[in-house]
This record gives sequence, C-alpha cells and structure tokens, in this order.
Amino acid sequence: MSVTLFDRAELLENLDGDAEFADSILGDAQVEIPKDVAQLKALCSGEELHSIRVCAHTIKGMASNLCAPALRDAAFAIEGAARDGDLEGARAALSELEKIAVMTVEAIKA
Amino acid sequence: MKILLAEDDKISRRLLERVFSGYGYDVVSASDGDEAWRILEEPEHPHLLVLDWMMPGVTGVEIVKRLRERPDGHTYYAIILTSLDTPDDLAYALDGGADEFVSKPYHADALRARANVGRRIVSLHHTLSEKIRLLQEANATISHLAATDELTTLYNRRYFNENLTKSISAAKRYKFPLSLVMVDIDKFKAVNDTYGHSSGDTVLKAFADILRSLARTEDVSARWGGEEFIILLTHTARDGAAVMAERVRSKMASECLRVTSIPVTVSLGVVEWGDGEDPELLIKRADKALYRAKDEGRNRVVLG
Repeated sequence: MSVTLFDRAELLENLDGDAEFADSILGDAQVEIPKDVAQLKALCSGEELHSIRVCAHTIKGMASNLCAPALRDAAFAIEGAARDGDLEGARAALSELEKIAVMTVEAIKA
Repeated sequence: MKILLAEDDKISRRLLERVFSGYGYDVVSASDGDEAWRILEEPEHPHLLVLDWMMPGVTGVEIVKRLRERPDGHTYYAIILTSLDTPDDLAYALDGGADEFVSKPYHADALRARANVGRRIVSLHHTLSEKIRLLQEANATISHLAATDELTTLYNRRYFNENLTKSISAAKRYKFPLSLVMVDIDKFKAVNDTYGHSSGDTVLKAFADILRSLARTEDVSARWGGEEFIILLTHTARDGAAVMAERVRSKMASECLRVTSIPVTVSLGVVEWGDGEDPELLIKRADKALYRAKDEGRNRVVLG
C-alpha cells in the first residue's frame, strides 16, 4: 500500500491542534465509515447509478476531511465509474474500498 | 445571525459546524437536502446558507434554485460547497442562483470570511426591508392625513372631489343613480360667538359622528369647509337621498343638544346627478338647494 491510510498529524494540524475534537470525530468515523460502506455495498447490488455516485461522493468527502487518502481515492474511483455509467466498474472497485475501509478504521483506532 | 449548514456526511457536518461556532453565528444543521428545505420553510429560518452540492434528496443547487423563485428569494445568501470544481460546475451553480462557490477541501478561515460577506449582505437586506416597511407605513399615514379632515376625521374636500369625479365616471359607464347632500350647520357663527370656538369644534365633531352613524359603508361623507359638509350617495336616487338627509336633520335636532348642551340644527340640500352633468355643476345645484333650505327657515331638507 503506497498511499497513507490515515494521517493523524495532518488532521490535528487542520484542527489547529484541537486533540479533543479530533478524538471526537475519529470516534464518529469508526461508526460512520462501516455504515456508509455497507450502504454503498447495498446500492452496488442494485442499478441506481446516481445513488451509488452520491454515496461514494459522501465517503470521499468524509475520508478527505479525516485525512484518510487511501479511502478517499477508493471512493473517488467508484464515484467516477458511476458518473461514467460504468456499473460493473463501480462494483469491481467496491471490494478494494471495503478492504481499505477496514484498514482505515484500524489505523484510526491505533 | 442564523446560518444553515447542509451536509449529509456527519463528520463533514461537524467540521463545518466547528468553522462557524463561536464566531457570532447561530448554527442550524441539516443532514440532507430535504431537511434543509424543511428548515427553510419554517418561520424565522436562516437566510445565510452553506449547502453541500451533492446530497441525498434535494441537492444544494436545487435548493438555491427553488429559493430564488420565492417572493423573498433575493434576501438569501447561498454558498455552495462542493468537490465539483470545473468551470462548468461553477457556472452551473452560480447561474442556478448561488452567490458563492467554495471548492472542497476548503480552508476554514477562508470559508468563514466568505460567509462573513454573506452576513453583511443579509444584514443589509434586513435593514433595507425594515426601512421599506417603515416607509410604506409612513406613506399610508401621509395618504390618510392627505385625505382626512383633522378635526372631524371625516374625508376632506380634496379627497371628496377626487371620489366624486370617479363616481360620476362609474355612474356614466354603469348607468346607476348618484346623489349629493350638501349640509350646513345653522347659525354656527352664533355658536362660536356665544359658547367659544372650542364649543364650536365640539359641535362639528358631534355632527361628524352623526354622519358616520347614519352613512352606509359605500357613502362618502366629507367636511366641505367651515361648518359645511357634503355626502355622496352612489346607487341612490334623489328620493332615497332625501330620506337619508331627513334622518341626518332629525338626529342632529334631537341628539346634538344632548351631546353638546348647545341647541344646533342643520339645513340640507339634496340633488341627483343628471346624465352628462359635471361635478362642479352638480355641487353648485346642491349648494343652491341648501341655500333655499336656509331661506325657507333652516332645519329642513330641500330637494334641488
């Protein structure tokens, strides 16, 4: 894995060193990431490309805010596939995102 | 100032709330576009908005488009927050009605500074709206004063003349009868000389009350000048106007004394508008009938 999973130092810097707030949103992230990934997985089993795109976009935004670039990039790939009407491409990228999501949550917990 | 933050992702929403908390903003949050729209339909809702473009339900840009169609649509300041950042995206959002477009990832201080611009503009809108409301109230007061006699609060001569001209035009067009009653308080000079001007004013006010109590909603009663009054009765022929005039005469004769302790009567001249007659001529005929009533001994109604 060449892309960083989670950069705590960057997050703290973005939050002006507010460690308490950082811990608070990281606590939320441990709940939100699996929830959103499960939602995306459910959507990928259907054919509603717009909903897949919106959900992947949400995960991308969250990952970006959390300084979790690997998850951001994986979500971006699915969002792009959905935008281009490539349902199979979105489905194919899902398993990679699921793996990265699990690792990201572990990195956040560490 | 209230600010609405609409962002579907919880973490992004919390970060956004943090940008504005403690900087004089009263933060209202929505977790999707539908919730944001519900908030914007409540009374006392925010007018400064930071909306994520892409959200489940209504998108941020759709919210702005809908807002601009409302009568108060110009009073909002909307910042669209998005990771869509091509020139086409920017043009689409701004043409849709957004005031500002901020790309993600945003810099907290820069986003707040843009919202501060919005806060100044929204404040300006509020101030202007309040000034316009006060101006409208003042105009209404001025219009009322311009049409009203200060002492009796009946209509004044100017308003009456405008109304008479319009009513005659309508009577011509729709062929309905219209009558005038000209009234003069008998020996009013003697009232002033004997009891003083303040008592004279009391008599004028008491007579105005009598006119108000007897007039129909559509009648126009006015102080013509001094102790002279005039009543316009639309959809009323001369006989009907004479009945009304007699009621006025009778009520004044019986009630004014009780109100003012001064025995005062009135004389009245009644005329009906004839097709083609102009307002000046009609008034002149009413005046003539009134002076016949005076000549014939006062406290009476004369038909002209």
